[in-house]
Amino acid sequence: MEKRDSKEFLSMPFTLNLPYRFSGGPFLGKFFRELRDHARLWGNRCPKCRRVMLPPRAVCGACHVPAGQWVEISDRGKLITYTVVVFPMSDPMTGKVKPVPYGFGGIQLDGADSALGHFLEEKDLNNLRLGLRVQAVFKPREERVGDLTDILCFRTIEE
Amino acid sequence: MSEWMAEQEPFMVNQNLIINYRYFAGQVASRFFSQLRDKKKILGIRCHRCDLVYCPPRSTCGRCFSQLKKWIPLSDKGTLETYTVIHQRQPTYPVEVPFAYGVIRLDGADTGIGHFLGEVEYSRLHIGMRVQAVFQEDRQGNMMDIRYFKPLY
Repeated sequence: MEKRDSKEFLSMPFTLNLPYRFSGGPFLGKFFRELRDHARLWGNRCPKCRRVMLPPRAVCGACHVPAGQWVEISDRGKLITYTVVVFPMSDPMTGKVKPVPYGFGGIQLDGADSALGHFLEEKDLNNLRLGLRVQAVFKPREERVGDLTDILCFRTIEE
Repeated sequence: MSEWMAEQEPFMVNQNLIINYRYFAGQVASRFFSQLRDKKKILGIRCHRCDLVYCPPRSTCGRCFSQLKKWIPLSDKGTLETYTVIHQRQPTYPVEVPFAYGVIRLDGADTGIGHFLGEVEYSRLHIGMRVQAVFQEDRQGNMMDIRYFKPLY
């Protein structure tokens, strides 16, 4: 076996399919249930710093105090950060590769102080700018399952 | 606990992560896998300082950090060092339950390889059992070119 080392280099493609479940708990549970059943978005307010967190949290990350009252959040908001995805990659939630290029943004919905990351529908990527007004596009009721994919994307709106 | 919280039903979120990736075998494992695929031969690699034969082979000795070059052909027969029988289904398993899995030290090797055990009666599994590799017909150059190890009762 003292031949020269093999010059063939092997590589193997793998696909790992990993289904899993997590408990939403009372806070994300309410958030996802309302999203699924009524296409409504709910955040909650920190009683100390008064900010409205979306998605809702049990404890304010800044003040470390239990979150207070529920606040209904608009489905409209503004783009506070964005990027244009040009390198094709599989969506970790579905495993599918979304056709590039597309916009992905941080959206601050009216009534919330935090941002939700989501896909942008805007086809003309030159139109993307900070402050752009967008509105959530929900899946039809029968297709909603109670996770963030119940929102398809955010659509540019004129106001 | 707030009233609204007490009224909440548990809410489970179903997710499905799909990870596409490519494993690069590198120089040593490429040779190991191509010999499995082309010749149904299982190779080990010897550390001359420690006088240890590693299977699966590796490029560096884990004990003395020597670079390993000396390839050794190994038998397709070996000894079962440890085993388990799996009854609980997990989504990441490549086969259906129940199945047996064990660590096999091939004759001529000092380390064991983990693999499936096939054609086996679970009640007769025991440590020290003699087993033999069963190769796939259609071999792709990976560890599953060995289908499983079968007992030599």
